Amino acid sequence: MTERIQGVVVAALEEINLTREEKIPTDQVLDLCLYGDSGVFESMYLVAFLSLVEENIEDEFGTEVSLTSEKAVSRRVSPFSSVRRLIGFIEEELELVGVRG
Amino acid sequence: MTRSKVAIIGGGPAGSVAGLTLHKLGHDVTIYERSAFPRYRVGESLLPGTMSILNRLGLQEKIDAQNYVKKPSATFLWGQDQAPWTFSFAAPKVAPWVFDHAVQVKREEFDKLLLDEARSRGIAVHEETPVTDVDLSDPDHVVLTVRQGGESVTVESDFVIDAGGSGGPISRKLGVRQYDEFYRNFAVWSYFKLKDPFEGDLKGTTYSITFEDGWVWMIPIKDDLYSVGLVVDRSKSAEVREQGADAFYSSTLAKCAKAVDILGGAEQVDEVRIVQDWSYDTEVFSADRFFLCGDAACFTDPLFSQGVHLASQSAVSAAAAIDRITRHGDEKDEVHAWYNRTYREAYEQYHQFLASFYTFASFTEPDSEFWRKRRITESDDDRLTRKKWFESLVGNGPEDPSGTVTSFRDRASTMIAIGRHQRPELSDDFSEAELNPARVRWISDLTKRLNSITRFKWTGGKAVLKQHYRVEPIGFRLEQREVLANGEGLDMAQYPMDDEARQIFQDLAEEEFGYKTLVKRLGAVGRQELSTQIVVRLMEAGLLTGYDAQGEKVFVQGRLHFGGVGVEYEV
Repeated sequence: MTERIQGVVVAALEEINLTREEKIPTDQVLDLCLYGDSGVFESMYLVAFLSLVEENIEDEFGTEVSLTSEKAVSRRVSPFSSVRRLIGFIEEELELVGVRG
Repeated sequence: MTRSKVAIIGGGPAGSVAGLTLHKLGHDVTIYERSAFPRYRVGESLLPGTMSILNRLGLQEKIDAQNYVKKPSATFLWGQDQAPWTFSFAAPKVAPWVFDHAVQVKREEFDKLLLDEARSRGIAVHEETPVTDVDLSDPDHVVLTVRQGGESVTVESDFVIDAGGSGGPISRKLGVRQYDEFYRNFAVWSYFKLKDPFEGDLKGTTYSITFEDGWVWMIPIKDDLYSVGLVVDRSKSAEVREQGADAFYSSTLAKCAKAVDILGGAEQVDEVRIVQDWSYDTEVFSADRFFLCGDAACFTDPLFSQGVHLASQSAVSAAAAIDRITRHGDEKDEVHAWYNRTYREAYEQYHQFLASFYTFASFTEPDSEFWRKRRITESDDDRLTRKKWFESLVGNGPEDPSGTVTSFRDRASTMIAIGRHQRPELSDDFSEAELNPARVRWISDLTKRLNSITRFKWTGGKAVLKQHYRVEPIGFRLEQREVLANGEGLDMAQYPMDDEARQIFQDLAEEEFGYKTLVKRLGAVGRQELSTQIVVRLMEAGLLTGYDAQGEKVFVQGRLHFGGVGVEYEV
């Protein structure tokens, strides 16, 4: 399942790259920092990116996941600190609603 | 015609940037500067947007060679018993011209660097040459009277840019300057020998600190100097006359305990200086063959260090506008309308931002007369009647919760909450990373509100495209572009739109779908990353209103926009 989720996240990044002058590097995507000091998104862009990922997850797995829930934002280490963390969070959420890879 | 002859009054940042931009665009430029450079100026703290402009004009290497103090943020000790908060300039590099820092400069060095660069590129620069009169009566050209070596001579040009600072001749001649009733302040400042006392993420930051009589700026500049200024009410000028500037400065600074703590006994090493008549704007920013730039056009309270940015941004815009009119004379009226609108909006953004922070501070300094006088008073504050932002704020009447002073204060509170330190005092332990949880929570709250919108209503019938302009960031040409508007002339000019995007809003006007559908459809026409920003801007412009599943109006707290920082030079 991890690979499928990674595919969804990378597809969202690539979709955004289509209109970016400075492309988001996707070669070492798992370590990519999404938000914060060295993050690739400013706040409003992050909102748009998360909406896109939520939509792609729904298309891929047929279920809704909220990436800005209280659970997500109250994590000691933010799911937005890296793509790896975001994938981990999505995986946990999908498992909770019974989705298996 | 493809080439104009342009006279620029003033060789400060506005004049030099205008000259450099016009020269790059192929025009014949002459700068007339009344002083001999270097000459002293206050206003040492810059914004990232200025770095971006200078970078794009090819000055990066020269700026880097100066070893200016790098400014990563601005830090505020804003209100009694409030933890410090930091307004970070950190920004992802979504385009080559996005900067995540600014610099603190000695203006005499910085301004000379820019003027020397203009000269080295072939621009005619005349120092010690004041412009004593400008004749704008001929529709086809401008005549300047300049004094050079004790003699008055007249020179003719196609256009004139007044970048002559607060003493620039055109606004005085036309009688168009309007002094501000809200910021009736004056500033008193000097310099201290002090090595930046903080390491880590506070190093290089500017401090702004409230106290009972006003607020204090503290700016670290080269050679272990700190610029330390007091912004106080104009009524204090009587005390200055009684006590003398030195005694007034020392006794008033002593009242600001937090500033005294940072200074820690540092020695004052320069004279005390004063500037009065603080904030003003102008009835007209450009017309016919003249453009006003920088302090010649407007100035407002320096809390957010916006002066040099407003100067350099307006200079780029004026240069691009002259270039456009030169090549497309039939668009003269539209180009002037664009310059006047965008300049006024940029100025008013700062004005609004400042008013919100002054209002916030007024509640945390309840016993201070300075702060009480600077609280916005509900919908009838006649000090602000000329300001479009204030009319928008209160225009929807008392039933709109976004149109109240409480909401206005809340916008500043939200910004402050996002930047609040985890310790009650300044410390080397501060790290910008500690601000992330609050930022993420804000993003989450915003997303939830937007996601709850199941139906958008479009205001004003049709969704149409309307002509506007933008300055192309690398070439500096003014280009036509289309923006979204409604049938009643209301528009959102921040993002260009095309017919595909317009059709989405026409469909929305007819079908009234919700946020998720709107974002998905904007994504399908290449606006994935900008979709949320576009929706929020349209809501702020009054073009879109959102309703939840119960039919209740959804209020998205308006953001405080701020030019010169962030990926689009706004917060």
